Amino acid sequence: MTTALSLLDRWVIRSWRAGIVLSIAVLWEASGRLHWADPDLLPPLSQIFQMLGRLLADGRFRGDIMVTVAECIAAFTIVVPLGLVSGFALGESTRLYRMFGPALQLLMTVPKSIFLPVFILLFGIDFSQKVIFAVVLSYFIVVPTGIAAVQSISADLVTMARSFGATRRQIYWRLYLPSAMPLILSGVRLGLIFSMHGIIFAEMYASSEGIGRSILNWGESFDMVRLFAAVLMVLVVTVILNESLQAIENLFRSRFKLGLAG
Amino acid sequence: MIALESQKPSLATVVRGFGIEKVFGEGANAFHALQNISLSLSQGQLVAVVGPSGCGKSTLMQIIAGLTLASGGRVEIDGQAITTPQPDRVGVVFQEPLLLSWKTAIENIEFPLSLGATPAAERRQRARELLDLVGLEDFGEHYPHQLSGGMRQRVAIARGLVRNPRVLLMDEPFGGLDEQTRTRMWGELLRIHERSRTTILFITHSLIEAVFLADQVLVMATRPGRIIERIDVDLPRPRDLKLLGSERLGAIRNRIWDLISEPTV
Repeated sequence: MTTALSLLDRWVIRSWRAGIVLSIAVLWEASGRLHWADPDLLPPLSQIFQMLGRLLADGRFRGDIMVTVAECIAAFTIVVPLGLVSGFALGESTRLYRMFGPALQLLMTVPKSIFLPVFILLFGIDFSQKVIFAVVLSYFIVVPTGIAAVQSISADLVTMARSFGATRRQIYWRLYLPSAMPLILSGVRLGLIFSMHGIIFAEMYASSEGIGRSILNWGESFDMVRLFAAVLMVLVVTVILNESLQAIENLFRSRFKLGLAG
Repeated sequence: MIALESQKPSLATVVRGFGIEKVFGEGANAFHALQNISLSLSQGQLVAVVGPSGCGKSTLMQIIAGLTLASGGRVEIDGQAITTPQPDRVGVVFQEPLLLSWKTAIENIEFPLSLGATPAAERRQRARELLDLVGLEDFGEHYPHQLSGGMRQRVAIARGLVRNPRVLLMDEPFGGLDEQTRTRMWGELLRIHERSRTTILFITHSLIEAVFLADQVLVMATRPGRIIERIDVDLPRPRDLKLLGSERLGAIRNRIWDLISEPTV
């Protein structure tokens, strides 16, 4: 997978990575200040950061953040257990998979956004509608991960455990859980990312509050500084969350020595 | 020395199989995998089952382990019928080591005990004894990926013996190893057998392996899987690896070869 790198190599690679981020930031700042681009359309980065500071101090915007965060947490806590448990059941039982698999496959391919107007008619435009939409959107992402988690378990290991008298319960807890942990964590990570995606998208489509609504309003009124500030904030939060969960996933992968000889 | 077994001086029969049958499928598609298999292993005996691929020898092992139900006949260990896995009577070693990659060697050996009610300290003590028996006393804290193929299989043997079973079933346990390691493992297995005096049923497709290790060789033929000959190997124990090149061993091997090659060619 990864080849051994010398300390110097690793520092060179890290410097380049940091350099890429830094040069984008510098180019962005310069293009606004030196009028390479219209500063009304692409305001300098420093202005955007200042605006982000002002927005974070503003009670109204903080209220919007709280609404979005609450919606995301609600969707996430519903969809991750729901998706993983049903994925587990489908992966474990051929019978269930034959019954529900085809419908699931079909729904997976459909863009969920086409249902948004129907959801609004059915559930209104408040908190629950956003959560329901985000759950539907991310459910079809989490379920395949749950199925893959079950299918990643070696049938021979199960036979081995059975021969030593393991009960079904012991096989689930002692074999399935550690073997499938990285894929379970993938499910958690994808559940979180797609919950946020669904919530913000639903807010942008029709809402009276939330970050998505603010982003849409500022975009429509050409308030580029506020627009970029909000976009940058969501981007940074998402990247941090994704990277931390990925790090935990990798930690488990090496902790359980998965993919190595047994 | 460790006491692995409260030894009985008599050669009591440990494993008995009566007319074991196994049929897969139904009607016209039915496949007769095993036909009228009878066998008997007495205390401390090492019996090898040898036969070509597809003769049902692994199915036979699965039935004795209680992992698969026979279609007919019965299996008894110490007179008790086997229909489900009985970990305190039967230990199993598979073709692959099948160790848990996230557990160390000693934790893997403890695994069968950890499924039951054995206290942790006793588990560790018992696993240490077995680690010592298979000659891996310095590798207890190693993870499977840090061990060689032969070492992993030795951990699997220790795990198979940890609950002090009445019989150890070994399903082509050295099939995945290279020639040199395999030969060394033969010596190792004989030494373990010598020390533990556990009854062993050893499944293989290698004639040399069967003759060198076993007291008795059951020769199987295919379609349907059945026992065509029982050959007692009267080579003295303890056996040395030098025996492998001996005329006596070669003669027994050739006799079995004639038996299995004649009808099919």
